[in-house]
Amino acid sequence: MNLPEKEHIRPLIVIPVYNHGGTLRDVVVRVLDVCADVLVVDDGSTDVNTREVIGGLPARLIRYEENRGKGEAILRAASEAKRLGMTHIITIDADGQHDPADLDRFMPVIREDPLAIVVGKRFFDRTVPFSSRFGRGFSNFWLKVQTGCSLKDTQSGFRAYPVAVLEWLKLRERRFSFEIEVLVRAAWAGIALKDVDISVHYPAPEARISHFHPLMDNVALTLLNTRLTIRAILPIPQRSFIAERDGSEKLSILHPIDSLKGLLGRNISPKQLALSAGLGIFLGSLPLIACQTLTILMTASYFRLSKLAALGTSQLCIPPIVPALCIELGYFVRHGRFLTEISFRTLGYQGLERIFEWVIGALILGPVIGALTGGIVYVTTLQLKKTMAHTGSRDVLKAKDGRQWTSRSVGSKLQHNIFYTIIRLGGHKAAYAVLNCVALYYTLLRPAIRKKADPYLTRRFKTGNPFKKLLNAHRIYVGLGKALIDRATLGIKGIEHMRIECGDRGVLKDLISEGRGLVLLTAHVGCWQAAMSALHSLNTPVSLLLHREEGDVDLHYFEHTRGPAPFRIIDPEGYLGGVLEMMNVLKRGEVLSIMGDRVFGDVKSTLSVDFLGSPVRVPFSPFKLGSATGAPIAVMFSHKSGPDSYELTVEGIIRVPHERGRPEKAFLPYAAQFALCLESYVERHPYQFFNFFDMWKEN
Amino acid sequence: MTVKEKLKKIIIEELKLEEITPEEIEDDAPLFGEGLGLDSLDAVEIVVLLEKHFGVEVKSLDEGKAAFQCINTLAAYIEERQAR
Repeated sequence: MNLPEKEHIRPLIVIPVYNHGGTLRDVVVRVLDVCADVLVVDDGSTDVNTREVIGGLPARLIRYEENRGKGEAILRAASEAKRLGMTHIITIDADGQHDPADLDRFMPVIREDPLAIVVGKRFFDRTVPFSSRFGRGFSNFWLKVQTGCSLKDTQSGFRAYPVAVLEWLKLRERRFSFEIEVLVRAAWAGIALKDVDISVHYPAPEARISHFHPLMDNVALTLLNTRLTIRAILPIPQRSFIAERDGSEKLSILHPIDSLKGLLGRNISPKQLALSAGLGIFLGSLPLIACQTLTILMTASYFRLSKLAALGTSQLCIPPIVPALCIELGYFVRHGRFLTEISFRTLGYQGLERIFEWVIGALILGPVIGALTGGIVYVTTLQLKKTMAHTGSRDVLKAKDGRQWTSRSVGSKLQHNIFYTIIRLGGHKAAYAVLNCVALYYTLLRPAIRKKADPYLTRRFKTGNPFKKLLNAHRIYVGLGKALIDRATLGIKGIEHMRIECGDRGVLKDLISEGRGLVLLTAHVGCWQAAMSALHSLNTPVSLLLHREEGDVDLHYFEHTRGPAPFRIIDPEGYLGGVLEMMNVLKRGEVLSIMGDRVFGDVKSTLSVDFLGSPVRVPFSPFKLGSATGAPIAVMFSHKSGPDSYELTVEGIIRVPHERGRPEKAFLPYAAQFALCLESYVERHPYQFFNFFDMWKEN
Repeated sequence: MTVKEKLKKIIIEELKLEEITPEEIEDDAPLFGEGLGLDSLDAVEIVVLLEKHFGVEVKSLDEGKAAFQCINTLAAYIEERQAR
């Protein structure tokens, strides 16, 4: 899409004409005085031969044989302008009511904001018929209701449109109502609407030729206004021209939360949100029976406030508490005492009295609780905005840098802290209850996050049933959430709060007693923190190859552990990928734990093996280390075996003979053995595999 | 044969660097990254060969960092440790 630069504004002056043969030539001549690029679009005129009327003038002409409507003519002109390389079209009526000299007034406004639609505001004096003045005010009012934007003359035909905007908008109207629809939809899309003062020459009533059909066009306008108003008050975000152009965020019905977040981030200030909330409460407290929602939506729209926030808070006023309070208060104002008799007589026969008192009470109480709610919302959103500014950019799933894998958290610090508090107060089972809702939110409303599990789930389950897919995604996110809660519980409450069983402890002890160290090859399954916690019973120091990055969920465990972590950490991004430290660990006869399904560094140090039917890349450093030092490799996974327990199992023991040199292929059988262990694990525990990096993606 | 010459010969043998001769390895070229172009997994082999052929164990990360720069530093490290 070619967007106009400030320096290169090239307007095409467009004169749509339908049966204004008498004034057309004069208008064209006067426009040509000011601007050389003029296009007449003859919308099927039958009064004169337009070609002859403007004959000899250097203006372009497009003619429709039949009348198609002004909207059609304008859109046709826009595509012609695009073909000619023009950035804007400026429409001017053919009836001579506009002064082409006013074109000069448009240019500075267009230059200031080349994406704005600029509308000429006609100066109306007393000679202008009342019906015209009323019509204009009425039309302006609807624009304000539907978009929250104000224009002083929404019925003016003297306008400048950016070609790119007309091209982008989806418009349905083709006749008079086009000029209303285009303004509303443009405003919704975030396009600025601007006024510019113009002069107007209204011919004497008997000389006026109007093609406005009082019945048909009024019906069309009413239908359009109804449609636009309904659309305006639906609390669903509109497509935004600016955002789509930048490709940054898209608004869509299918992604309401993302859209809302975008909307929040972009347009709504804490003050606006607070006002919306307060408005919702105030209107919610009034007895606007059967039209409360509509009133709230339209009022919020009018004042350009958040419809969702207003609707949301108004729900706090549903009966019985707030209406009862209002009625009591109103009753007290009228009678000096409270209403104590709740009976069919007082609420039934005297129903109208009560409604009157309700109104009185609401007028007093509404503003008070409205202001109170607004204040709370204001403080909260300010706080939230700070947190968002802090953590918002850390959202993993949007990370598009070269990093291959990350386990950074998807929630904000605030959300994590809420969970920690729940664990502290109610234990991990209370946190599970909340988790179910959170997981449901992610699976249903955050498709971007849900899809993270797709590469694994499609291969593991091979189902085409969308419902089953959704269910699987939900189950795996519940699984992940439980693992996260459990690890936090281990950190916060201590390892005695989880039972961690390791039937294969004897096997591990035997391997360690060989004296050449032990490589524990693990994966992103179960809860490795639980596994690590259990290893202290081996009475051998444990080191862990783990890249610590900010916001990493893995770190949350360490935040809570009191005292030193039960293991040492080796950073794979350290000197020589940490191999010197790893070698030393093994040479000392200690335990080294490595994630076998996570690739660090370059592809060179990986091998391709089959996992769930297609090739994935896994690191071969564990096998190389085993080969160089003679340390045995134990493939060890953990799985959640009950609400309070984990089980550690040794899934296989891999011994890599000493290989000389660097042939990677020599390590292939051992890597394949690891993949088989992992396959057998996901067969048994399908919802405990949490490697959401797409392992299968071609490198 | 000097320590440097022996070191170059052994590195080529153990790491199976077939396309290069001992003379082509410069004494002060970096071993890892650019220079000889070894990677972290080759470091595993170097640790092993130091032990096997020179009886030298790399005990700490700091020692390793200093020694693993180039042939010069590695040879100096070996000589220093063997002299103890």
